[in-house]
Amino acid sequence: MRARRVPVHDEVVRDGESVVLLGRQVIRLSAIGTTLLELTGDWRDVDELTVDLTDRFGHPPTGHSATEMTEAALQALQQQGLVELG
Amino acid sequence: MAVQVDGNRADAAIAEIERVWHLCAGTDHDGADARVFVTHDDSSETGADLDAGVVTGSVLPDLMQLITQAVTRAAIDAQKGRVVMLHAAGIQSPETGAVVALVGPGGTGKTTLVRTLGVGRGYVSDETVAVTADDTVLPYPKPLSVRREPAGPWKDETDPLELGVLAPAPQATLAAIVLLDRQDGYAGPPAVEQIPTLDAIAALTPETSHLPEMEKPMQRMAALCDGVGGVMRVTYREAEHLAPLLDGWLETGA
Repeated sequence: MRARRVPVHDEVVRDGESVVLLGRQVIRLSAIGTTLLELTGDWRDVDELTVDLTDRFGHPPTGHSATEMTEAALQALQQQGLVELG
Repeated sequence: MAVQVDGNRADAAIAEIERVWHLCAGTDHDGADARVFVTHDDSSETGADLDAGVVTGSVLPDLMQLITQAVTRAAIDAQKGRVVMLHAAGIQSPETGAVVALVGPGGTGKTTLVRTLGVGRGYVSDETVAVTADDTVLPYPKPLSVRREPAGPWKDETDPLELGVLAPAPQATLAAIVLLDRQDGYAGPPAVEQIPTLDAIAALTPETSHLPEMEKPMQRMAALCDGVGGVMRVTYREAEHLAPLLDGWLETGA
Protein backbone atom coordinates (compact mmCIF):
# COMPACT_ATOMS: atom_id res chain seq x y z
CA MET A 1 0.00 0.00 0.00
CA ARG A 2 1.16 3.53 -0.80
CA ALA A 3 -0.37 6.79 0.30
CA ARG A 4 -0.27 10.44 -0.68
CA ARG A 5 -2.13 13.31 0.91
CA VAL A 6 -4.51 15.42 -1.09
CA PRO A 7 -4.35 19.21 -0.93
CA VAL A 8 -6.52 20.73 1.78
CA HIS A 9 -7.97 24.19 1.92
CA ASP A 10 -6.26 25.14 5.16
CA GLU A 11 -5.00 23.61 8.37
CA VAL A 12 -3.90 24.50 11.87
CA VAL A 13 -1.45 22.34 13.80
CA ARG A 14 -1.09 22.62 17.56
CA ASP A 15 1.01 20.33 19.74
CA GLY A 16 1.22 17.76 16.98
CA GLU A 17 -2.54 17.57 16.42
CA SER A 18 -4.49 19.46 13.80
CA VAL A 19 -7.73 20.62 12.30
CA VAL A 20 -8.04 20.74 8.52
CA LEU A 21 -10.58 22.16 6.13
CA LEU A 22 -11.26 20.00 3.09
CA GLY A 23 -13.78 21.65 0.82
CA ARG A 24 -16.48 22.72 3.25
CA GLN A 25 -15.75 19.98 5.78
CA VAL A 26 -13.72 20.54 8.92
CA ILE A 27 -11.84 17.50 10.21
CA ARG A 28 -10.12 17.15 13.57
CA LEU A 29 -7.04 14.93 13.44
CA SER A 30 -5.12 13.09 16.13
CA ALA A 31 -1.35 13.23 16.38
CA ILE A 32 -1.02 10.08 14.25
CA GLY A 33 -3.37 11.39 11.57
CA THR A 34 -1.56 14.72 11.56
CA THR A 35 1.81 13.00 11.28
CA LEU A 36 0.65 10.80 8.42
CA LEU A 37 -0.50 13.85 6.49
CA GLU A 38 2.82 15.52 7.18
CA LEU A 39 4.70 12.47 5.88
CA THR A 40 2.69 11.89 2.71
CA GLY A 41 3.38 15.03 0.76
CA ASP A 42 4.52 12.64 -1.94
CA TRP A 43 3.75 8.95 -2.41
CA ARG A 44 5.09 6.90 0.51
CA ASP A 45 5.04 3.17 1.07
CA VAL A 46 3.20 1.94 4.14
CA ASP A 47 6.30 0.16 5.41
CA GLU A 48 8.27 3.41 5.35
CA LEU A 49 5.46 5.21 7.08
CA THR A 50 5.27 2.52 9.73
CA VAL A 51 8.96 3.01 10.51
CA ASP A 52 8.47 6.76 10.76
CA LEU A 53 5.45 6.37 13.04
CA THR A 54 7.15 3.92 15.38
CA ASP A 55 10.17 6.22 15.53
CA ARG A 56 7.89 9.03 16.73
CA PHE A 57 5.28 7.23 18.78
CA GLY A 58 6.96 3.97 19.74
CA HIS A 59 5.92 0.43 18.98
CA PRO A 60 2.34 -0.74 19.53
CA PRO A 61 1.50 -3.08 22.42
CA THR A 62 2.40 -6.73 22.07
CA GLY A 63 -0.03 -8.56 19.83
CA HIS A 64 -0.65 -5.55 17.59
CA SER A 65 0.95 -5.10 14.19
CA ALA A 66 2.42 -1.67 13.59
CA THR A 67 1.93 -2.09 9.86
CA GLU A 68 -1.71 -3.03 10.24
CA MET A 69 -2.29 -0.06 12.52
CA THR A 70 -0.66 2.24 9.99
CA GLU A 71 -2.82 0.78 7.24
CA ALA A 72 -5.95 1.27 9.35
CA ALA A 73 -5.01 4.88 10.03
CA LEU A 74 -4.40 5.50 6.34
CA GLN A 75 -7.73 3.93 5.42
CA ALA A 76 -9.46 6.17 7.95
CA LEU A 77 -7.78 9.17 6.36
CA GLN A 78 -8.83 7.93 2.93
CA GLN A 79 -12.45 7.65 4.07
CA GLN A 80 -12.26 11.27 5.17
CA GLY A 81 -10.92 12.19 1.76
CA LEU A 82 -7.54 13.31 3.05
CA VAL A 83 -5.25 10.74 1.39
CA GLU A 84 -5.31 8.66 -1.74
CA LEU A 85 -4.10 5.08 -1.59
CA GLY A 86 -2.31 3.23 -4.34
CA MET B 1 -27.82 46.57 1.66
CA ALA B 2 -30.85 48.16 0.02
CA VAL B 3 -34.48 47.03 0.11
CA GLN B 4 -36.55 48.14 -2.86
CA VAL B 5 -40.32 48.01 -2.39
CA ASP B 6 -43.10 48.24 -4.95
CA GLY B 7 -46.76 47.25 -5.29
CA ASN B 8 -49.95 49.12 -4.53
CA ARG B 9 -49.39 48.70 -0.77
CA ALA B 10 -45.70 49.59 -0.86
CA ASP B 11 -46.18 52.55 1.49
CA ALA B 12 -47.43 50.29 4.27
CA ALA B 13 -44.51 47.90 3.81
CA ILE B 14 -41.99 50.76 3.79
CA ALA B 15 -43.44 52.20 6.97
CA GLU B 16 -43.25 48.85 8.71
CA ILE B 17 -39.71 48.18 7.49
CA GLU B 18 -38.60 51.59 8.76
CA ARG B 19 -40.29 50.90 12.10
CA VAL B 20 -38.78 47.51 12.89
CA TRP B 21 -35.47 47.78 10.99
CA HIS B 22 -34.48 51.25 12.20
CA LEU B 23 -31.41 49.96 14.07
CA CYS B 24 -29.99 48.78 10.74
CA ALA B 25 -30.92 51.87 8.76
CA GLY B 26 -28.28 53.43 6.55
CA THR B 27 -28.23 56.28 4.09
CA ASP B 28 -25.98 55.12 1.26
CA HIS B 29 -28.56 53.54 -1.02
CA ASP B 30 -26.47 53.91 -4.15
CA GLY B 31 -23.47 52.17 -2.59
CA ALA B 32 -25.43 49.11 -1.50
CA ASP B 33 -23.61 45.83 -2.03
CA ALA B 34 -26.79 43.77 -1.99
CA ARG B 35 -30.46 44.33 -2.78
CA VAL B 36 -33.74 42.72 -1.86
CA PHE B 37 -36.80 43.35 -4.00
CA VAL B 38 -40.14 43.39 -2.23
CA THR B 39 -43.64 43.52 -3.72
CA HIS B 40 -46.52 44.25 -1.36
CA ASP B 41 -49.90 44.44 -3.05
CA ASP B 42 -53.41 43.05 -2.86
CA SER B 43 -52.90 40.10 -5.13
CA SER B 44 -49.42 38.67 -4.56
CA GLU B 45 -49.13 35.29 -2.96
CA THR B 46 -46.78 35.08 0.00
CA GLY B 47 -43.45 33.76 -1.13
CA ALA B 48 -39.74 34.33 -1.36
CA ASP B 49 -36.91 33.40 -3.68
CA LEU B 50 -33.98 33.82 -1.36
CA ASP B 51 -31.42 33.08 -4.08
CA ALA B 52 -32.78 35.97 -6.13
CA GLY B 53 -33.56 38.21 -3.15
CA VAL B 54 -37.20 38.54 -4.15
CA VAL B 55 -40.09 38.63 -1.69
CA THR B 56 -43.79 39.02 -2.41
CA GLY B 57 -46.97 38.99 -0.36
CA SER B 58 -50.24 40.64 0.51
CA VAL B 59 -50.25 39.87 4.25
CA LEU B 60 -47.84 42.32 5.84
CA PRO B 61 -46.74 40.36 8.95
CA ASP B 62 -45.95 37.30 6.83
CA LEU B 63 -44.19 39.48 4.27
CA MET B 64 -42.07 41.02 7.02
CA GLN B 65 -40.86 37.63 8.17
CA LEU B 66 -39.81 36.75 4.65
CA ILE B 67 -38.09 40.11 4.25
CA THR B 68 -36.00 39.32 7.32
CA GLN B 69 -34.97 36.00 5.84
CA ALA B 70 -34.14 37.57 2.47
CA VAL B 71 -32.20 40.51 3.92
CA THR B 72 -30.25 38.23 6.24
CA ARG B 73 -29.36 35.90 3.42
CA ALA B 74 -28.34 38.76 1.11
CA ALA B 75 -26.30 40.48 3.81
CA ILE B 76 -24.45 37.28 4.65
CA ASP B 77 -23.75 36.58 0.99
CA ALA B 78 -22.50 40.15 0.50
CA GLN B 79 -19.91 39.70 3.28
CA LYS B 80 -18.65 36.43 1.84
CA GLY B 81 -14.89 36.09 2.19
CA ARG B 82 -14.55 39.35 4.12
CA VAL B 83 -15.45 38.54 7.71
CA VAL B 84 -16.03 35.56 9.95
CA MET B 85 -19.77 35.12 10.39
CA LEU B 86 -20.81 33.08 13.41
CA HIS B 87 -24.35 31.77 13.88
CA ALA B 88 -24.66 33.57 17.15
CA ALA B 89 -26.52 35.97 19.34
CA GLY B 90 -24.40 39.01 20.11
CA ILE B 91 -24.88 40.93 23.35
CA GLN B 92 -22.81 43.98 24.14
CA SER B 93 -21.74 45.85 27.23
CA PRO B 94 -23.06 49.40 26.76
CA GLU B 95 -20.16 50.71 28.85
CA THR B 96 -17.20 49.08 27.14
CA GLY B 97 -18.56 47.94 23.77
CA ALA B 98 -17.38 44.40 24.53
CA VAL B 99 -19.45 41.73 22.77
CA VAL B 100 -20.08 38.14 23.70
CA ALA B 101 -21.01 35.82 20.83
CA LEU B 102 -23.34 33.05 21.97
CA VAL B 103 -22.96 30.48 19.21
CA GLY B 104 -25.56 27.89 18.35
CA PRO B 105 -27.49 26.49 15.41
CA GLY B 106 -31.01 27.55 14.53
CA GLY B 107 -33.48 26.41 17.16
CA THR B 108 -31.04 26.80 20.04
CA GLY B 109 -32.92 29.81 21.33
CA LYS B 110 -30.69 32.71 20.35
CA THR B 111 -33.59 35.15 20.12
CA THR B 112 -34.75 34.02 23.55
CA LEU B 113 -31.27 34.67 24.90
CA VAL B 114 -31.30 38.19 23.53
CA ARG B 115 -34.77 38.86 24.96
CA THR B 116 -33.78 37.39 28.32
CA LEU B 117 -30.18 38.51 28.78
CA GLY B 118 -30.05 41.51 26.46
CA VAL B 119 -32.42 43.80 28.33
CA GLY B 120 -30.46 46.93 29.19
CA ARG B 121 -27.53 45.81 27.07
CA GLY B 122 -26.51 46.42 23.49
CA TYR B 123 -28.24 44.22 20.94
CA VAL B 124 -25.76 43.15 18.27
CA SER B 125 -27.67 40.30 16.63
CA ASP B 126 -29.86 37.30 17.28
CA GLU B 127 -28.70 35.67 14.06
CA THR B 128 -25.13 36.33 12.91
CA VAL B 129 -22.15 37.91 14.64
CA ALA B 130 -19.73 39.15 11.98
CA VAL B 131 -16.12 39.70 13.03
CA THR B 132 -13.45 41.54 11.03
CA ALA B 133 -9.76 40.66 10.94
CA ASP B 134 -9.04 42.97 13.90
CA ASP B 135 -11.84 41.39 16.01
CA THR B 136 -14.20 44.29 15.47
CA VAL B 137 -17.83 43.16 15.47
CA LEU B 138 -20.16 44.44 12.76
CA PRO B 139 -23.58 44.73 14.41
CA TYR B 140 -26.61 43.27 12.66
CA PRO B 141 -29.46 44.40 14.93
CA LYS B 142 -32.25 43.00 12.81
CA PRO B 143 -35.81 42.90 14.09
CA LEU B 144 -36.33 40.26 16.73
CA SER B 145 -38.47 37.48 15.32
CA VAL B 146 -40.99 36.58 17.97
CA ARG B 147 -42.97 33.40 17.39
CA ARG B 148 -46.71 34.09 17.18
CA GLU B 149 -47.67 30.69 18.57
CA PRO B 150 -45.39 28.35 20.54
CA ALA B 151 -45.14 25.67 17.84
CA GLY B 152 -46.23 27.69 14.82
CA PRO B 153 -44.08 28.53 11.82
CA TRP B 154 -44.80 32.25 11.70
CA LYS B 155 -43.03 34.94 13.63
CA ASP B 156 -43.70 38.62 14.16
CA GLU B 157 -40.86 40.96 13.30
CA THR B 158 -40.49 43.23 16.29
CA ASP B 159 -38.61 46.47 16.91
CA PRO B 160 -35.83 45.28 19.26
CA LEU B 161 -36.11 48.40 21.40
CA GLU B 162 -39.69 47.43 22.28
CA LEU B 163 -38.23 44.41 24.06
CA GLY B 164 -35.90 46.42 26.24
CA VAL B 165 -32.56 45.95 24.53
CA LEU B 166 -30.36 48.91 23.60
CA ALA B 167 -29.00 49.98 20.24
CA PRO B 168 -25.47 48.63 19.80
CA ALA B 169 -22.66 50.99 20.72
CA PRO B 170 -20.52 51.99 17.73
CA GLN B 171 -17.26 50.47 18.96
CA ALA B 172 -17.95 46.76 19.18
CA THR B 173 -15.11 44.39 20.00
CA LEU B 174 -15.37 40.66 20.43
CA ALA B 175 -14.62 39.73 24.03
CA ALA B 176 -15.84 36.15 24.33
CA ILE B 177 -17.12 33.23 22.28
CA VAL B 178 -19.44 30.81 24.01
CA LEU B 179 -20.78 27.65 22.41
CA LEU B 180 -24.34 26.99 23.49
CA ASP B 181 -25.33 23.51 24.60
CA ARG B 182 -28.95 23.82 25.65
CA GLN B 183 -30.42 20.59 26.94
CA ASP B 184 -34.08 20.25 27.88
CA GLY B 185 -33.31 17.58 30.46
CA TYR B 186 -30.38 19.37 32.06
CA ALA B 187 -30.69 20.18 35.74
CA GLY B 188 -28.53 22.34 37.94
CA PRO B 189 -26.56 25.49 37.34
CA PRO B 190 -24.95 26.04 33.94
CA ALA B 191 -21.74 24.09 33.43
CA VAL B 192 -18.94 26.00 31.71
CA GLU B 193 -15.89 24.32 30.21
CA GLN B 194 -12.95 25.69 28.29
CA ILE B 195 -12.50 24.04 24.90
CA PRO B 196 -9.03 23.46 23.43
CA THR B 197 -8.52 25.61 20.36
CA LEU B 198 -8.52 22.80 17.79
CA ASP B 199 -11.73 21.34 19.22
CA ALA B 200 -13.22 24.84 19.30
CA ILE B 201 -12.43 25.38 15.63
CA ALA B 202 -14.01 22.02 14.76
CA ALA B 203 -17.12 22.88 16.78
CA LEU B 204 -17.44 26.46 15.56
CA THR B 205 -16.84 25.93 11.86
CA PRO B 206 -20.20 24.27 11.16
CA GLU B 207 -21.80 27.31 12.85
CA THR B 208 -20.35 29.78 10.36
CA SER B 209 -21.43 31.16 7.01
CA HIS B 210 -19.13 31.17 3.98
CA LEU B 211 -16.01 30.40 6.02
CA PRO B 212 -14.29 28.39 3.26
CA GLU B 213 -14.43 31.48 1.04
CA MET B 214 -12.06 33.29 3.39
CA GLU B 215 -8.32 33.28 2.98
CA LYS B 216 -6.71 30.80 5.40
CA PRO B 217 -10.02 30.10 7.16
CA MET B 218 -8.71 27.66 9.80
CA GLN B 219 -5.90 30.01 10.74
CA ARG B 220 -8.37 32.87 10.96
CA MET B 221 -10.56 30.80 13.26
CA ALA B 222 -7.55 29.92 15.42
CA ALA B 223 -6.66 33.60 15.71
CA LEU B 224 -10.27 34.41 16.57
CA CYS B 225 -10.33 31.79 19.34
CA ASP B 226 -6.94 32.87 20.68
CA GLY B 227 -7.92 36.53 20.51
CA VAL B 228 -10.70 36.04 23.03
CA GLY B 229 -8.56 33.89 25.30
CA GLY B 230 -10.18 30.63 24.24
CA VAL B 231 -13.70 29.38 23.62
CA MET B 232 -16.09 28.11 26.25
CA ARG B 233 -18.99 25.70 26.04
CA VAL B 234 -21.90 26.22 28.39
CA THR B 235 -24.45 23.50 29.11
CA TYR B 236 -27.74 24.82 30.46
CA ARG B 237 -31.48 24.52 30.26
CA GLU B 238 -33.06 27.95 30.58
CA ALA B 239 -31.77 31.21 29.14
CA GLU B 240 -32.17 33.06 32.42
CA HIS B 241 -29.78 30.63 34.08
CA LEU B 242 -26.97 32.24 32.08
CA ALA B 243 -27.60 35.70 33.50
CA PRO B 244 -25.04 35.39 36.33
CA LEU B 245 -22.37 34.40 33.80
CA LEU B 246 -22.94 37.12 31.25
CA ASP B 247 -21.30 39.99 33.09
CA GLY B 248 -18.15 37.96 33.56
CA TRP B 249 -17.99 37.10 29.88
CA LEU B 250 -18.46 40.75 28.93
CA GLU B 251 -15.90 42.03 31.41
CA THR B 252 -13.04 39.64 30.99
CA GLY B 253 -13.77 37.51 27.97
CA ALA B 254 -12.79 33.91 28.45
